[in-house]
Amino acid sequence: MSLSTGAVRARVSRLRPDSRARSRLSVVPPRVTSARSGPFVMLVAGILVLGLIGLLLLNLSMQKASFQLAALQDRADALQTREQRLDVTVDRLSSSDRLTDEAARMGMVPNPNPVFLDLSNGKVIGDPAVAQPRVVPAVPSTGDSGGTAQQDSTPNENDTTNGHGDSAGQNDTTNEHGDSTENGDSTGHGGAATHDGGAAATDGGDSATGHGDSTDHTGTDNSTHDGGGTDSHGTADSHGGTDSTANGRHR
Amino acid sequence: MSPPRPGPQPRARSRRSRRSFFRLRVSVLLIGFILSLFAARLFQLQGVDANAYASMAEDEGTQTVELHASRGAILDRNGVEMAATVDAVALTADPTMTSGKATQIAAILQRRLGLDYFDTVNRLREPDTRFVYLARQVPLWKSNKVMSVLDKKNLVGVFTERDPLRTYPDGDAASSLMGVVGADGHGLSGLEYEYDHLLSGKDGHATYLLAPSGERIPLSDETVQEPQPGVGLETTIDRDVQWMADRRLTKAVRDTGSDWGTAITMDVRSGEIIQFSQYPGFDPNRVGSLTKDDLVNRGVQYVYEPGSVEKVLTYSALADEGEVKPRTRIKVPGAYDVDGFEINDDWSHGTIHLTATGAIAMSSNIAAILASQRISKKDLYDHLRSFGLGQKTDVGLPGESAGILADYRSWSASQHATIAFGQGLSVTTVQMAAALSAVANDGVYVQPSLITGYLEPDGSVEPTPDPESHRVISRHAARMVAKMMTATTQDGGTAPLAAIPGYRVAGKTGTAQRVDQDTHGYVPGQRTISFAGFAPADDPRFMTYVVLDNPKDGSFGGTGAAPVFHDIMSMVLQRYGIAPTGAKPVHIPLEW
Repeated sequence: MSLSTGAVRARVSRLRPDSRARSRLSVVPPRVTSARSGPFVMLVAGILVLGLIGLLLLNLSMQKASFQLAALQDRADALQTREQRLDVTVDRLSSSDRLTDEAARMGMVPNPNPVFLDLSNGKVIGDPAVAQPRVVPAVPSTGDSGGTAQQDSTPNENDTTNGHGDSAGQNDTTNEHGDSTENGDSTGHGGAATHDGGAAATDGGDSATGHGDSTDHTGTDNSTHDGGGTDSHGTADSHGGTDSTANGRHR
Repeated sequence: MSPPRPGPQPRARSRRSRRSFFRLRVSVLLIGFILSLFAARLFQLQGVDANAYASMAEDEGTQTVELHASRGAILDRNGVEMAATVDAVALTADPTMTSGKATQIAAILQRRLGLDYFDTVNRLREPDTRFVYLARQVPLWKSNKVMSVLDKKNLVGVFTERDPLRTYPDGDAASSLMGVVGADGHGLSGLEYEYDHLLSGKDGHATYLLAPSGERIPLSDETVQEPQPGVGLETTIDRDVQWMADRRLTKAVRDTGSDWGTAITMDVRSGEIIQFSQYPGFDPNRVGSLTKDDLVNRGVQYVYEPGSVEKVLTYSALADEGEVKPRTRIKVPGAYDVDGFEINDDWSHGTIHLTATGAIAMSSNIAAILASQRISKKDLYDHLRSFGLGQKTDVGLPGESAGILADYRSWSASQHATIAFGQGLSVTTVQMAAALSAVANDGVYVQPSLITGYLEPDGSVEPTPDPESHRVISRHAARMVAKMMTATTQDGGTAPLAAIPGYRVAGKTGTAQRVDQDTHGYVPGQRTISFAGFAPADDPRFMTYVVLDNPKDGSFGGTGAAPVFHDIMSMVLQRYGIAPTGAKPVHIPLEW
């Protein structure tokens, strides 16, 4: 602070005229600025609306997705169930019991005299002989064992055969239709009766092995599907147990 | 400017300010008090009970669903499923809701599921309960339909709960071996029990956030612990051989009127069990009707006296010690007296002159005793132990018995004699099969095995460790014994029915006094008959052993069990492409 008081005063006196001039100014009304708020409001409102619409759409799409998810999940479950059902059918159809019976029905017999061909020198080892029916092995048809195993699966068979070719959903409708009419809606049972024939193809194997099976079939199958009585040949085949014909017709 | 007002004003002001000051203090105190209550409560909520409240909140807003692991399959050696699991449910009912419409519901269930109508009606009307089972293990494809039909007809009160169904496509074939799975999803017997910890996998769970209305909140946090599916078992069993052997054994047991029977076929080189049949079996697809007896695994749990089949092991020990050769001459008297017991052969004879081969072919007890006297008790015992007698094979089936082989130090002279021809010791089927496979496998014992690998959920296969193996007798001795055993199935032997044309078949019959499974004592007049053999004798690949307990038709090993052996072995040789070696039949004189 090296400035002297004189110097300060001189500076102030130099400023004074200006300040006097300013003090003469009177208050003016505030300038009316036409601040154009319209676009801004529009912008905000627009964002708001867009946001809402976006949210709505997002919600909708999420809803839709969850519906789709549920539907696809149901479908996956149904398909998985169907796959299992078919697996069980394949297992049953390829079981040794059934194959043996099927082979026996087709007139095949085990060959107790195999002949071997040595590929290295083309030599035949052993003496070829005509296989005699039932020389070896003498396979007993074990009624209680093989039979019960199949019996358990008996009720499936209608369902199983239903499944061929069409989606599970359709099956259900056919079946429910048939069922809701309880006794004798001919269309419903007509469809079912054809299936029954298909079931006969599988049943045949059982009835040869598992005795007592066929009676069981008569009980369940009849009451289920044959009430309408529109299809007689399917029934006859299935319970007669001679099904080479049934096979051909319904597969 | 008005003049200042006199007097009272300053006093009033000070009174007012004092009052407001008081009010302020009270308010502050009040607010402070209330805030401190809040703070205390906050501290209680956040500091003290925080976890309890958090979990309560979580419980309120979340739902946990159990995700069940699927049970591993059991495959045969070719990858064919022998046990598989199907999604299924149990149908249950609340009788308080169903009793009114019981007949309608029962009619549908009878038609759809084949349930007994009257029984079902009774269950649907059962008094004083709110829970009954209507049907167990109903596959989903059936239950779904039933439920939709019931739903459509507004018949309420029937419910489903998870109840997986284990299916065994081949029914009772291999039933004892596979075992069964109980209602709780865990194995009760057989492989299902032994490997339950692997097969059953590990259940998982999923937790979702729920809206108050009970719906899942989309995109909300959810924790899912995926279930670990069970590991599958790759077995050594050949399903087709198993099935055929099972049928063949069933027939034999029925034809001979036996109590039970077992048949086992092993690959002598690897110790793999190709088939392991047991009768009576049961239907594993009907778990509900099983008895405790069905859960018994006769092949590893039942012990019996091996009888003459054991002579193979005695002669193996003798051959290994260099005491016996195929043409070793044995002078056999009509009877032999040990410790005051008279021992005879199955057929009465005077003094005869048998070669060692003849002694095996005709199955002379006396010859076996005389020959066995050439080695010490300890040598015989050590060999039998080395063959695996008196100890578990650890084949991987539950409840395996070790059989009975007393320590040689406690053997009496008569025990030494009887053990030499297969009495006074007890074995299991699998034990004896493994021992005879060792003879077939050039003298090397290979632990029998049933599992070759674990099928991981990702599809990879983790092989099981190689089975334990050790040499029991020399290769030379094993070859000699195999050659001697071929005489059994040739003319003059005890089991020509076991012969398979074109092959050299080594075998040995057994007919022993029967031991009761409960009392462990002899049952007078009853027998356990058996036949063991392998082929081709000059290059053995497979060993089959058949046991029939208590036949009622007077069968012997050579007549009751040998035909079963023949049929099973024929199929196995054919199936595995074992061509006859072209070796000529062995001609060793049986007598001298």
